[in-house]
Amino acid sequence: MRAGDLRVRAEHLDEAHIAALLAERQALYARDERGEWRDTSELLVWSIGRESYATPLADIREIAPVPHVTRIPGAPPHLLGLIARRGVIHNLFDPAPVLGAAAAEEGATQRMLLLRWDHPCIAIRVSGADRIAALPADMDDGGEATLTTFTPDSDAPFARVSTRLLIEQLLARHGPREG
Amino acid sequence: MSISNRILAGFAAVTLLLAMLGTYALMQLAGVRATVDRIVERDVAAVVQVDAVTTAEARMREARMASMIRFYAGQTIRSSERAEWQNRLRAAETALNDLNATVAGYQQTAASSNRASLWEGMKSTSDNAQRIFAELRADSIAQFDAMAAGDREEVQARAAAIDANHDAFARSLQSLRESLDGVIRSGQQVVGDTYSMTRFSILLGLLIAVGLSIAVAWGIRRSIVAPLGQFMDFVERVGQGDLTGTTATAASRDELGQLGAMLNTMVEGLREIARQNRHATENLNAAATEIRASTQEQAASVEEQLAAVQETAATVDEITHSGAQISRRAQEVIAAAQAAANTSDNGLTAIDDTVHAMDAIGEQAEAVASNIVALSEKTQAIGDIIATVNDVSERSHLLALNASIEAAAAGENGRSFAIVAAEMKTLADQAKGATRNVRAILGDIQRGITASVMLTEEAVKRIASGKERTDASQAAIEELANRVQESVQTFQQIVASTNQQQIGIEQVTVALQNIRQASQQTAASTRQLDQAAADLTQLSGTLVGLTERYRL
Repeated sequence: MRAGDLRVRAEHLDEAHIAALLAERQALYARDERGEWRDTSELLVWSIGRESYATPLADIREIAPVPHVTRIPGAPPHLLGLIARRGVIHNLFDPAPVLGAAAAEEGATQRMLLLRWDHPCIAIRVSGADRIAALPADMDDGGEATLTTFTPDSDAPFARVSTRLLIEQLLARHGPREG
Repeated sequence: MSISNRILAGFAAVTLLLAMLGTYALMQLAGVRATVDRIVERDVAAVVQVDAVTTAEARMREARMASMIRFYAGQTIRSSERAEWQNRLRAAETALNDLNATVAGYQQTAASSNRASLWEGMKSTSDNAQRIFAELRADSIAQFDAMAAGDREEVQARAAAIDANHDAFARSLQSLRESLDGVIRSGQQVVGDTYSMTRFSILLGLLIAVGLSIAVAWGIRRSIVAPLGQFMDFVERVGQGDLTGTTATAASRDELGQLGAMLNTMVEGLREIARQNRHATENLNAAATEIRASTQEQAASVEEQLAAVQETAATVDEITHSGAQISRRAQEVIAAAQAAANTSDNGLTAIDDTVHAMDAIGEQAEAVASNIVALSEKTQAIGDIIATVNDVSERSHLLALNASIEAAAAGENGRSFAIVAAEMKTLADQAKGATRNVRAILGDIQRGITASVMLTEEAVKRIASGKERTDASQAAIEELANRVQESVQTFQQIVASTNQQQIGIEQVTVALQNIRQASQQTAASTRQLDQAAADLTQLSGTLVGLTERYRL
């Protein structure tokens, strides 16, 4: 650490560890300065069972534990029910049938993704939200397909889910039953 | 005649023969010498006479030739010259006549027939020389007459005749010399023959003398050796044990007769001694045989006694050995039992210690179980804390993700916040991972505690069971120690009894050893006695055999 810099202290971390964290943060800021942020799109990697999927962060409003679900009589199986979040009613869907994934095990920890979709407000139930992945912008087709499989160098492969097509399919499955 | 006189007579006969032989040899040598002297004398005389005739004829011719030389020289022949020639003529005639007479005389007394014939040949040659000399005399006288007459031709003619006669006369003289050489060679032959005859006769006489000497010696030997041979045969028969006869020459009165009489007397004495020896040895042989039989019976009984004693001693030795072995084994058993008693005491002590230790272990196990239960409760509390921490980390994780979402929604302005959100997420992930690890470790600890609780409970149960078994073992070992102690006392009594038995057996052994030594000495003495009896029997048998050799 150079003289005159801001001296950072952290409990249970020695100076070398603190220096490594600051260097990593400096590298990330340097990426921003070099404009590399504009060349990538950030995705939230979540999972259903053993399958990993990714949704752009811009399409997600919040991640939260699954609260009490109010069942809707006569609803299709992938419409799990209604939940209230911050005073807003959301339709909670199970995307597994649409994605062709196996259903999550009963009793396992479950999360829900609140999507940026207002009419109606939609949430999907997932097994877990794992990490944030950065995908090069030229590789992101912008959601032309429901599922696009990617294999990053350092992480496990995942399938990019087009939020719009997923919602349309969820709603389409929901619609005919309503009609 | 006595033997000494016989030897003396034989020596005298041989000496006489040698003297006669020497005398004969000397006589023969004298005859040879006389013959040689006579032959040499005659031959030398004949040679001298032939030389005298030759010399006289040469002197006669010399005188005639001197007269002829004077005649041819024209000188007159003197009467003295003729007288000289006539003197020489007469000398030659005398020599020739003497030669003729000598040869005739030698012919009559020749030493051999060969020499007689040779002398006869010389006589005829001498007669021929006398005839030629007569013609030579006549022609020479006629020549002297012609020289006296001065008739040269006649002288010449007579000279030729004279030369022819002279040559013939010379040839006759040469023939005489050659005949005389033959006579001399014949004389040498006669001398050699005489010498050979003399040598042969001497050798013959020597052979005869030797033969006579051998005959005399053989006769003397025969007169002495024959009786000695009879004596030797007689003595040989006596030596072979034949004492039955007498020598045949005892009747003569010479030394050999006396010797024969002495031998007969000696053999008679030997015969009496042999008769007495035979009787005594027969008695001795019978006694020795009886002694041998008795000693053999005694030896057999002593051997049996010794064998019985040895068997008894061997049996006692075995009993002693067995007793010692029993005592030793009993001592070993006592030692082993004592060791077992000590071991049982140690076992009792160990069992008491074990009981106390088991009680302490049980108490400690119960304390451990209580502690483990308390620890399990605390781990349960730790698990609740970990669940809380895990929930916090989950919430932090979600919070970080939501922060990232909000940062993304803020666009460019939320980049820095996105970084902080990422760090929060990383921190939440690390906390979650640490919580997961702690939970796993806590799970292992809880499983270990559960297993420890079960093992502790099992250990408490086993300790209780071990205590029961230890109590049973303690009772068994106490009973075993009592039994071992009783066994020790019993074996001590056995050892005491065995020792007393050993003392008695040792006394018996000493007595048996004394008996065995006495029996061995008796057996040795009996064997010696048996051997002596055997030797005596063999000796008596030998003596009987020796006495039986004599025929009485």
